[in-house]
Amino acid sequence: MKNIRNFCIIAHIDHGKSTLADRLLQSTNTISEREMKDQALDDMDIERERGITIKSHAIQMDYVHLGQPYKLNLIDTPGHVDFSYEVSRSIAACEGALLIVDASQGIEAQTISNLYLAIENDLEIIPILNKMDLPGAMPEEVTDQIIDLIGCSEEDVIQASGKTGLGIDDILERIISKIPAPKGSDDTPLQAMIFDSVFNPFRGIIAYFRVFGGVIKKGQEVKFFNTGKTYHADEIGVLKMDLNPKNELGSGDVGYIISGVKKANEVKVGDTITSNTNPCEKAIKGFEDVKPMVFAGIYPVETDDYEELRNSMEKLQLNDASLVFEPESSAALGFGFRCGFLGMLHMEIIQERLEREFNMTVITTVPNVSYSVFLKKDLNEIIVNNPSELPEPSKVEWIEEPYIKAQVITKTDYVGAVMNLCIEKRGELSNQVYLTQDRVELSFQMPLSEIVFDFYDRLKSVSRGYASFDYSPTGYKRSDLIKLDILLNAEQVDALSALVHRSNAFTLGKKICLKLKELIPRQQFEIPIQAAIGAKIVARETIKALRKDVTAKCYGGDITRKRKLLEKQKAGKKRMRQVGRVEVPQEAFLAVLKLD
Amino acid sequence: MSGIYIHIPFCKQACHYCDFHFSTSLKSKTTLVNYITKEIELRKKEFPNNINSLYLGGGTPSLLTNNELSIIFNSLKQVIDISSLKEVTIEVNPEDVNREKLNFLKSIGVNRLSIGVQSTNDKVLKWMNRIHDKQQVLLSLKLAKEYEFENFSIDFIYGTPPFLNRDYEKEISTLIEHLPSHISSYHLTIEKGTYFGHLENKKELENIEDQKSEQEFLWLSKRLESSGYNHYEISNFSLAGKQSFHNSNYWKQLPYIGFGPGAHSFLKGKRRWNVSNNAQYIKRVGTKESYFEDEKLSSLDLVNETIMLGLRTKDGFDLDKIYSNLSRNKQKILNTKIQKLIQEDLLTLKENNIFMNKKKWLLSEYAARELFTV
Repeated sequence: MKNIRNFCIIAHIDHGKSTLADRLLQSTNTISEREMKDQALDDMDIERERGITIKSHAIQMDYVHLGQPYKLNLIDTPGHVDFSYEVSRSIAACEGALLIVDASQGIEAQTISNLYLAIENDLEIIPILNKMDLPGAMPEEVTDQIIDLIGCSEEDVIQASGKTGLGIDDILERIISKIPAPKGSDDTPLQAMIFDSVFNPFRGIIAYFRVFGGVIKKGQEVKFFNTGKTYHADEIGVLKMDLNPKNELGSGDVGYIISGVKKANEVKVGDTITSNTNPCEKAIKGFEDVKPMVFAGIYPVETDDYEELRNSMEKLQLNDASLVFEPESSAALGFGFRCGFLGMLHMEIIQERLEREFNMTVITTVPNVSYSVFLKKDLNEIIVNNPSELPEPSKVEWIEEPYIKAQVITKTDYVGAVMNLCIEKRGELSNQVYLTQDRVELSFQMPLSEIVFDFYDRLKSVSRGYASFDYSPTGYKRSDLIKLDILLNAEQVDALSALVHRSNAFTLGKKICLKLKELIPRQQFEIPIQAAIGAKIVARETIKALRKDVTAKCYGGDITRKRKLLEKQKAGKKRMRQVGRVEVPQEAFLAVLKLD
Repeated sequence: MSGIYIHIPFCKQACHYCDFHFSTSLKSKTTLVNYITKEIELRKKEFPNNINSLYLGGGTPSLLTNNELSIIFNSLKQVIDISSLKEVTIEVNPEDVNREKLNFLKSIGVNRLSIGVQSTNDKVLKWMNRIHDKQQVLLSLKLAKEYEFENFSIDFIYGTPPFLNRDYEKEISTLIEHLPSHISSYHLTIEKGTYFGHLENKKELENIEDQKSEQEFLWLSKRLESSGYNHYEISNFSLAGKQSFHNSNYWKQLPYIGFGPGAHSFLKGKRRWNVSNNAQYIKRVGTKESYFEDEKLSSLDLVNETIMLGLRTKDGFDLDKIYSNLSRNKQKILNTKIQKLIQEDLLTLKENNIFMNKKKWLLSEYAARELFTV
């Protein structure tokens, strides 16, 4: 056990985490040149293309230092706020963390909140200044930021580059000398924490765990503490580039278990694995049942594809237990599902995976948060996850909506603009801290629903990209909310309804109408777009009728290009949904997310 | 029937609306002409059968000197008999038309002129950055008549912004007084990469409203038809028997062979296009490197072309011909779409021919997309 080191990596998106991890794998010969591809740990195409990590991964590296063989377990974690619970469990599985900061960018909000989490868990932090090869690297300035933040000395900060390999040996040496070996004993009852799971079509669910005490053996009966279910440990082992079966794993080890579990939701991240015959007394603390934060309807573009969509979602759920859904129907869109997501990125990812992995073209409706509605009659509380299910306003005593603590880190130049945006989004400033002379951390109390509505893009644009953002939920608060409906060609489209704050309703209605006008192609008749609160129309735009759709010339040199263009346009039209007489493109349903 | 196209990629100056391939540097004109003849020589064996038309387009073919024209025509004579062709057309700009030029063109066998008039309003001509003015237009038309080009066509542009205050009746009546046998009347298109495209990006120019386009289109159609012109393609009108053979070949998917930078060919079910850069063309034809790309059309590609091109013409397309290339299932889908468009009053089905209704002709690409088979 004294030769095991368990560590994770804390980094902001694009700060070079995956590339640096790739170098560690190469230096320890965990992966051969031949097997090497970029972002080796990220399995999904979508992860590689977007340069993000969605799932946690783990890998064991063998490394000899001063004649001693070491097992280094790297747990690669997602970097986005949507997956902060998964990150927290990965952190809890480690004794140390590499803090990777882009030398040309400096520290970002996401990094800080994960860093605090690591410090709370008593992890040893190894600060690394990455991308030192970039001409824009500002080592002195960013080193100062790191020193301010974790109170280390200048010499502790390793200068590195995932691209050139600078500092990689230093990092490996520091992992061994600084990060403590795991504590715990093989003699206590088995206590292992699940930090992630993946679905394998042949083997079922493979759960990743870290042993905190005792020994897990192949063939033994295990019990999952929080679900109470018992399983047979068909196979256990450690994670190299492939699964590497073992007969037993002891305290401090990181490994996997295959136990015939078929459903992802039986394996909960943070749950404790123990022995069925000699169970531990307490579960490992920190377990939470993750709840979806954002809800939206997902509908097939072709109504006939409903059953196929259900199949696809079920398969996706095997791999992603945090996706929840139940059937619902919409007057405008027919049959579909109301889905719960961890956040906006999670929602985008699910939509994209449905298209990529299952070839399902879907329409996602306007997302919303979960509201608590208190009825006049008996002050009974009902949960509303879909604006069109909101009871008649006359029956509602009040509505509560979820609030968050939002943290924004930005440059001093943009403090004013960021504050204006957050205040416009009904935020209240609760704290303001200067991290360095020109970097400020702002904290706000804000309704979560305001983050759902075009917040990220606006934050990016008001700060010219120099703002990072993180949030955590703080509970429900009473709000003056009303339902804003959208009418196309005089017919209400329930999939476009949203619950909004009364003070915003008019402006928002106007903006949504304008955006829809831009997104809905002209058709052979005039289409009025209206925003309404109850029976009252608060905004209107008109899409003029299409009378000309042809180019003037089509001669010898134009034929091929023209045919291809028309074919492409026709393919694009497949993503349209007929709502009444109007054909509405897929992206129009998400129009409210990208208002100007 | 089939045709030959030769692209002359030179202009004295760029018109603000034009996105065709051309260069305003005339230095390499003679060199390029020589390389065109080299291409003709290289592709001697590819000439299609039953050629009925030769067409020199551009750019501005009237910028070629008599000597340069001779080089091209002599080279073609090695392969075909020009005097046997029904239609030998050259595009000319009004400012290039003079007695000497017309004499020469007649002598080498040109029997049809396509004159780039565009407008008879000096303010409009200037706005488009045309070189010529109204006087030159009238003179060129007079000379075309005098030199007994029984066939001459004029290009006209409508759909221009309202601030130009055009009097279309005045322009059209001035033009048809000279009895052109053919009129191509194009709605202004603001193309990317042109000066007008640039103005559009800066929000200083925008397309006119659809309703106005439709109104001008229908007015022109009625006006010209009442003067004896047959509106046989969205943008083309002709006196009886004077339809352009050359362009009709394109719309009927008949073969053509094209020479010069950016020229397209359609031979044996393959569409091909030459590199559209003068220097690259000269270099690659010279070294016999690949100077073109091509693409074999699938039977579905051909069906979609038939639909797209057919809907642009008055006669439309032959439904049986299309059906014979489609599976049962695809026939059924197409039939449903056709019924829908007939109901929307876009199409007419008559004796197995499908064609656009005049009133909705400007929606022919909308209709084509609907009918395309995928």
